[in-house]
Amino acid sequence: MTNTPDERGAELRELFFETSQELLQALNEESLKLEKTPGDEEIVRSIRRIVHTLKGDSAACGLRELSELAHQFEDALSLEGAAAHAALAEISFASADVFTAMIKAYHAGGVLPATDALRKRIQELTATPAAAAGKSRRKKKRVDPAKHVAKDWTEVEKLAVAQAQASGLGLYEVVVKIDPHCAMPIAARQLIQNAISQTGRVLVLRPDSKSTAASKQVEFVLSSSESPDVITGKCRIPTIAGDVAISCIQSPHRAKAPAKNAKAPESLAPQNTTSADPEVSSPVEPGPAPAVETRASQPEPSAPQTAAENILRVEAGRIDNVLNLVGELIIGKSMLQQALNEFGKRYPKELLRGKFADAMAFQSRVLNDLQRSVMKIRMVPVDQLFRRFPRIVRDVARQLGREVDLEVSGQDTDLDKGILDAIAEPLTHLVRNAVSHGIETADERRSHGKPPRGTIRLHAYHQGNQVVVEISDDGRGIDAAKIRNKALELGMTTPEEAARLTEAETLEFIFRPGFSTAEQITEISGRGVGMDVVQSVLQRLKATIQVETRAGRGTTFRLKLPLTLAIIKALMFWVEKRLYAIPLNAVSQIARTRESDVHQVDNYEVLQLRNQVLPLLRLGRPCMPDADRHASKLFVLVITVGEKKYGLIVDALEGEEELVIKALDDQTFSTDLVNGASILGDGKVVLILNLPAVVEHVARTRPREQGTSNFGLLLNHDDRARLAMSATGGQA
Amino acid sequence: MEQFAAVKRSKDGQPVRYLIVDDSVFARKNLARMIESFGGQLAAEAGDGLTAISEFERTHPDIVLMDITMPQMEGIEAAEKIVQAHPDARVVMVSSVGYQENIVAALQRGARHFVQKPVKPEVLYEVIKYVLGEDGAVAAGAGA
Repeated sequence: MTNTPDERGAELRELFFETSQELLQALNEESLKLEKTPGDEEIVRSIRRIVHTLKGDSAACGLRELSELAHQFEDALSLEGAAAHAALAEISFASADVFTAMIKAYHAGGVLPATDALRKRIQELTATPAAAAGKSRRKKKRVDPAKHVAKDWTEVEKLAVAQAQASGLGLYEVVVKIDPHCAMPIAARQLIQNAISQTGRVLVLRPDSKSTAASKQVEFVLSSSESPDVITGKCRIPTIAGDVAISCIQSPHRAKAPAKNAKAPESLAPQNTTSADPEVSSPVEPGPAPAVETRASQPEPSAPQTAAENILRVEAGRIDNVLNLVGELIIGKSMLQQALNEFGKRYPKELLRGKFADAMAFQSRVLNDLQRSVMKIRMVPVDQLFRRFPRIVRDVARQLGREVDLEVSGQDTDLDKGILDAIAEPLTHLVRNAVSHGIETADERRSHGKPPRGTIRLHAYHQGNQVVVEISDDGRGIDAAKIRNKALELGMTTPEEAARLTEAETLEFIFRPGFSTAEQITEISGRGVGMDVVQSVLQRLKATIQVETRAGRGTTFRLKLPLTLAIIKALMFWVEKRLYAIPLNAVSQIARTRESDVHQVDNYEVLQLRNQVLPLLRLGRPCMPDADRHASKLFVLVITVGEKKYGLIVDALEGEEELVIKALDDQTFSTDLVNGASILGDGKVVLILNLPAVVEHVARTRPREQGTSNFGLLLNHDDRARLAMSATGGQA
Repeated sequence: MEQFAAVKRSKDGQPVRYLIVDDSVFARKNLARMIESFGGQLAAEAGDGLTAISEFERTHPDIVLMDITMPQMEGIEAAEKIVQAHPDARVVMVSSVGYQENIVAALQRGARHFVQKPVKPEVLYEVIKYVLGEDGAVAAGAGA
């Protein structure tokens, strides 16, 4: 290892900061379980194990305060009464919080949080009647003041000594002082006993392991054929044993004497007729208890830990870098493809074409796999985010005196790590809101004939090219009238305008900055800074949010998130001599039709295609002259947005291609209708449409009169010029 | 970290080989770092008792550093099983003060020694020298 100790120390610390997050998460989860089934010893053991690991790891990192606190908590947990303590889950939650805060402070180099309150609570735990009754094994040892220092041997021991003397072996009295720095004197004593047993037979062992004196020294009477030097040598165990004093009771000179004729000296051990096994050689502590206790291992937490064996922690930036390079490769591939096409056109008879095509096919297959693999690296299950919520829901519910259950499903849905991180805060906000605004109090719920416990559901699933995350509650729902009044009160709308708004439009006020209907501003929600933040984060991600609410039945927020931000398979098409692209997996069908098949329903253009009626979206101007209108043919892309299908009218199709999305910054280009741009192999710039936004835009600017629809949708020439510049500039 | 004179196997002068058993990756890395500074060599690592046993069978290390509380199979049981199968196995228990009874139990079942967590390198060094006894030799003058 070429690293200096300092570097490695820092590395270890980093490792600790990472692994401790998992421990803290596990601690939270176990605490939640404990709260549901209080007094479950299995869970308490599991908590203790987590705290124990945390203690050990933090101590090794030199994070003294944390390890001490964890140690204190672990001690309290090991008391037998602790499991029964009602407030244990509470304290466990509190410790998780304090630990988290401490680790954060260590990491950031900030000031450590106060721990006194927690310490006091932990002490309460140890002071419960159950624990004070002396059930603690450790305490029991300290409580017993009995001192057996003198030669108060039992009958059995006396007999054993007598027999040993008779056998003619050497007989020694050994006093080993236990190193006062040794924190585990009982274990030290066992070790000394182990060591000394190798030299002969231990006949008498004093003091009793349960006495207080046991932590200071051990006294043996040993029968041995070894010399005193060998025995003292064996007893000198570094860090365990201090001084060793040995005195010879009987030298091994009568080694060959027959045992049964020998008589033990009166002073040492009076003759005794009882015959029994010398029990001294049996284990000091019969102790089935520790064995039982330690064997109760928890198989459950082992899973993440063993899984961690094969996990490599890589900085996200490095993966992004690889992904970028893959993107460049894909552009390179399309350049090659383009060149090959031209080559084919110029030399249609050239045999080399086939070879090129084969090589291209092979390359693109590998490139596909490469891209998919790199993308997969960035994907993480949403569970990473969802697992935080049980604790959050519990805390908020408790604070507000609500009874709330959280149901989570679809946790294993994968999502890009960057997106997952970005939605963490908005999602937390929505969940908190659901508890504080959505779910009613138990009394209120009962009076409406609902079960007193409210339920919040978190659900994630794939839907086409998107991942949908739903947060629903079965609470009171959002009252559109209330929103409307509040919006009027805040001057966000005029009475005339408000009267015209549909319910869905009214609901959108909740996403405006400064809007809050909460009567009371609580710590948790109602500061009016929430929903607009949610909205702005989602907009940045090109994600959408839908609200669905039914008075008295509950509210559902549906977040639709893009699967990834970097590369898409796209279908390219021309509209008014401009090239656009849409994600290929949004296209379910490509159809040809005539203008005459387009019908008008309620000012919307629709198209009947086989058995379905599709609302049409036009990117370009409709052909005005009625004459050739009936004759002209149209391409219609049947696209799926959300759960609905639409027909997108285009002039001509270009083909499908993998596009590397280059983000467009807001200064260059401000419309949410476009997701980004991409550069093709021949340097052409293609705009990638943000379909949800396009659909929304069309729905909003509902055509009032026939023919003038969707005007604002098109990009003007300046926009395109600037776009082309910025995209090629970014490429260089 | 301070430097220690390397402890080698006296029979062939090779580095002492260790099996480190702990369910915390962190703790394992920490111990591995220490034994490297003693001139030792990491033969294998295990995160639970069962793996410890199979890793022991596979690598036959000179010394096993064994944590007590672990998933699947606890350190005591693993230590016992290893010692039963290989009476010369040198198992050193590594655990905190709170698990003293368990250490006692492990020592009764054949563990050779114990060190307390957090492990101090100088303590571990002494313990290892003791446990190796005549089978270990401190290399003259050579640092790790």
